[in-house]
Amino acid sequence: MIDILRFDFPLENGCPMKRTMLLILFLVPALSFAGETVKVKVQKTTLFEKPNFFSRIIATLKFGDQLEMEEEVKDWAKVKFGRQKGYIHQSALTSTKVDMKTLLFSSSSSSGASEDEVALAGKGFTPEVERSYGRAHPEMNYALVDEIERYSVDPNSLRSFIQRGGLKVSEGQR
Amino acid sequence: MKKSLLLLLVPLFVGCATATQVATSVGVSAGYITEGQKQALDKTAVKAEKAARPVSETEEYYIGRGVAATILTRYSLYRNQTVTAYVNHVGNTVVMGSPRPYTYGGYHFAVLDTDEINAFACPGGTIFVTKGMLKMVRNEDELAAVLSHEVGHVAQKHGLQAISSARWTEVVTTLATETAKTYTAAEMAGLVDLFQGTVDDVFKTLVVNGYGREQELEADMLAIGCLKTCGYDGRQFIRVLDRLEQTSKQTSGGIFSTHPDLAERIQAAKGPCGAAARPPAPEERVIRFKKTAVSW
Repeated sequence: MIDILRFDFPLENGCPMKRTMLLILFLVPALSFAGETVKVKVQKTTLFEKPNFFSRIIATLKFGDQLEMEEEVKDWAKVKFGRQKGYIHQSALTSTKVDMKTLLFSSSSSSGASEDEVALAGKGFTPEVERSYGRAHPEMNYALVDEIERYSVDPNSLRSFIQRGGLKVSEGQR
Repeated sequence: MKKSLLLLLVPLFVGCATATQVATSVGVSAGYITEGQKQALDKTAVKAEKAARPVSETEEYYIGRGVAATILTRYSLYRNQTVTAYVNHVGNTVVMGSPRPYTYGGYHFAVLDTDEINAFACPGGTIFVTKGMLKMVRNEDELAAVLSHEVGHVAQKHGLQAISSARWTEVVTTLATETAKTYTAAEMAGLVDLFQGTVDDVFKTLVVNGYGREQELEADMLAIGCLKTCGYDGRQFIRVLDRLEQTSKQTSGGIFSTHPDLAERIQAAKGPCGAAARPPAPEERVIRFKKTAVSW
């Protein structure tokens, strides 16, 4: 694909090197680096000793906490949080991918792929918008939604449920 | 010539307006496009870039809460501690087998007090299953199949795909003009209107129109993967679809109006589910289902 486009793209006085660079930048979507800072993008999550939902808990992390990426282990990321090291599921983290197009061409952070989830938290649909919406629509029973969200399953109870039911949990094997 | 035009369009589709402007300038100087065509392409790229900013995790969460609140205006919540606990245990088990076990606010499972056979996945992870659906499933593996399909919709953010692109472009454009985090009354009123429209878009898809065929098939495949990862019997997924199809011949409305392609889904699920016989479920799993099922 790159070769086909490269040789049919006539830049005026263009050199093949420039053409190739331009094309690579368009076609290579993202790169990721160990040592990058990543952030927690969910309200609350757990730093585990091993890449396993029922491994020993090292720390509880909250939205916006910054971690240092060490390596990816299937669906998990080995990270450093202060002096502590452990594993966190990648779905709880902002992307470690760096968008080359944004990095090199865009002067703002408005491009979707690298948008910082944490920076976006105070914008758009916020608790303030929800409160205003709720006031305008009293028929919306947010108290019930809160009640549903307050219910949580105790991890020990869940582990017992899984074991006694002859089930198993993912350990980053997918 | 065609390949060159394709190149000009690459940045347009990847959503980088600045890159498009670079490419279109090159295109004009090379004589492939006119200045007028360049301006049109640049304009489209800017519009596409604005719409390209995805819904953030926190926005997904608040949209999902709005959708859940709307669903609760139509259905009552079934408040039975035993049933809620059981459904949440099964649900959280399949969540751990999904590609997206963490969302901003986490997954929560609740039962709606209606005999209608249905289940709904709100963006962000609140999942409703009706008492009618609970009455239809015959064992825990079948319940896990229903819940994992809904988890699949959340993991793939299918609900968010229901938001009209024009509305989302307006949201992003509105926000792009804001420099402060506090809004004037008029700005807030505008955002609330957009929020309501967004919630309505998702609600209509979930409850009235249903997801598209591709989305249903995608959620099915994810569900089968979740079930297998967790140790549930994937074949039970087909049994649930079979029963839904049988029931659809006697009943209309609810899930049957929003899920019309059951025969095709059954066919598509057969391969991934596998036909190999599995050992029966452990007694504990059978007993806890029966003990809880008396309460729904």
